[in-house]
Amino acid sequence: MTHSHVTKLTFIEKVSLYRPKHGALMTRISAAIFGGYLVAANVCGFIAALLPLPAVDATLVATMLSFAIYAVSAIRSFSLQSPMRAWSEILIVSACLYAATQMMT
Amino acid sequence: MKDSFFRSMTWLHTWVGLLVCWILLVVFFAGSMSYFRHEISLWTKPELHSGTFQHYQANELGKQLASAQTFLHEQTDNAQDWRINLPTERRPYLSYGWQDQPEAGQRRGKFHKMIVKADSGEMLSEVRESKGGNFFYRLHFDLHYIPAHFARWIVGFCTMFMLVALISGIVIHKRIFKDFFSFRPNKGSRSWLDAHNVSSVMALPYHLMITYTGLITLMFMYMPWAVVTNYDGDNRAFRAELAPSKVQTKPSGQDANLISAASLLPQVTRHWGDAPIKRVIIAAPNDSNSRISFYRNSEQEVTDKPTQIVFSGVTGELITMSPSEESTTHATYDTLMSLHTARFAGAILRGFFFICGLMGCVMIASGALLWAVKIRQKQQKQLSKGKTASLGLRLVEGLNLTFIAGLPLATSVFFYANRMLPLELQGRAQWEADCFFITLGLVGLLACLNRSLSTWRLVLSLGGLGLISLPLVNALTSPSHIIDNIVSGQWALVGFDLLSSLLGLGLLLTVKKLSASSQPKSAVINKNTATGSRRQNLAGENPLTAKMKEEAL
Repeated sequence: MTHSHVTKLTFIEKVSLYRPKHGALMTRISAAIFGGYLVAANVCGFIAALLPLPAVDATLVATMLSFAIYAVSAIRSFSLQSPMRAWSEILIVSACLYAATQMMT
Repeated sequence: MKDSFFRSMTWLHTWVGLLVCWILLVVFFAGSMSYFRHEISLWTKPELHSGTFQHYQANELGKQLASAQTFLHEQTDNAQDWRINLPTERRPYLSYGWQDQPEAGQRRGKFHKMIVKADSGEMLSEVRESKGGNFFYRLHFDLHYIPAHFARWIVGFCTMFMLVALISGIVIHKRIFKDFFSFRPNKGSRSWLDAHNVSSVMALPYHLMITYTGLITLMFMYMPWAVVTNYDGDNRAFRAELAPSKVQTKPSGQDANLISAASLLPQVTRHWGDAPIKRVIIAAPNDSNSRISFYRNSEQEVTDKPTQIVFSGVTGELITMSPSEESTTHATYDTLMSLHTARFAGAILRGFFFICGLMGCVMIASGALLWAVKIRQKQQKQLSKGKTASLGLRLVEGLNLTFIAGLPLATSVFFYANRMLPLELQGRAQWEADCFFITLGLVGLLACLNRSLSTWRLVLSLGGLGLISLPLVNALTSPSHIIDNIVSGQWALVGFDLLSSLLGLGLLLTVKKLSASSQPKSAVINKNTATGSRRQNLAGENPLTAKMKEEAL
């Protein structure tokens, strides 16, 4: 229990301890909102093209899953140490998926 | 690393939750009300309360369709479609409707609806104009006063925030199982946190389900990218494959004789057996491309499986019907959709969903209140020196008062307006909605001036009195009161009266609880007297927690 002192803190103290710098915070927020959508949209298109199902079904599956991807991506943007790392991950993943989707269709 | 993850999730949960919580509260509240959309609509039209109620009668169907067709043929001229709504459990009356051709610049033509008297088959004249339950239904995704498309994006954005708040909330909740059983009253902000935890955790599956399926209902608008990939963005082509029976055929412009819808009944029976039919729509009547669609009343099946069967209106030939076997994916999609709308649910299950929805309101409201209480504690030192609270705190407290206490009041005002506004008033239905928002606005104005506990008490007790007296209002302004309705078995109307008075009673009990222990507590919420020991402050917060619990139950 090396971190026992931390768990004793109240909720609000934990919140106030966490103070990202302003610029970094905006990068993180934009990575969560816009980057998250970018990843979700690309995963959505990729799955739709990838699945060996009739087009209607593949479209349905991909679209239904996309919001989970969005949420996970948004949370990941906030859990990474560096916000720039979040953005670079997002851009790389999106670019790869986009290219793959274009090749398949 | 692990600790910083935990901390960032806590931070995320707090801010993501706080930023959009008031819109979410409106959406959750209006959405919960929508479970009783038809019942509310029925209550708001007292003209229907006598002489119109009837059961579905399979052997009368042919006669009903024939007389409907005769009536619509005489009454309408160049209508886009005719609609015959047969009695169902939740809408126990027969009605005929039609839609005019859209005027220039309009996407849709005007809808008309006439209700048929059960005994004589005559039309009911003079039904008041009211949005009824549809007001709440629309409010929960179209908001109001702003373009629907824009509003849906706002609501979708807030729903996404909600999803992230839920996930991060679960992550930071280390003792999820233990907290399930703990509610510690009179422990100040600890009680708020408990209230927030209990309402969140108890209905967590519901919260997750309703949030995700909410996104699913409008997913092709929010995430068109799979359609873009597979259909080059051609939404029409996609929809045609998704639901072939819903594709509308353009009228040809050539006249043709419409056949009788009743003559198609044997064919319908051959496919569906004796399953009840809820609606018949005749599109482009007397056109050579006319279509007659029968909609099945799918009652309590979880997915709305074979619901529609379409015939040509000229030859009577079967055009298409919803497939009885559908793909697993499609079944999943249908199930997710109907989980959100709860169309399959009977009265008791719908009531249960309603309670879960209210728990969602409690979760959102207690979270917002928790934030305000915590920040006020943090600013306690400055406050006791006579400084004013920070702008953020004042804003959050004001919005809390406006939406948490204001929503029940505005709802009761909506129903009063429904019964009190003069029947001949121009734009009456819109006035009812305006009354709802004017009330919210007034509470907001009040919140600018005074956010003390007495204001909370005033607004809550007004709302409570309003709701609890709705059965009385109904008795005075409609042909039948609650006893009549019990005798005649009109459980929709009885249920409305009972539920509104129960909710009103809950609010009044809360106010009573607030008054009983207001002395030490006014310090917390009333910034002018924000002195007193920390202990007293904390003790004072509890009654509002109790209110939340009562509302949930």
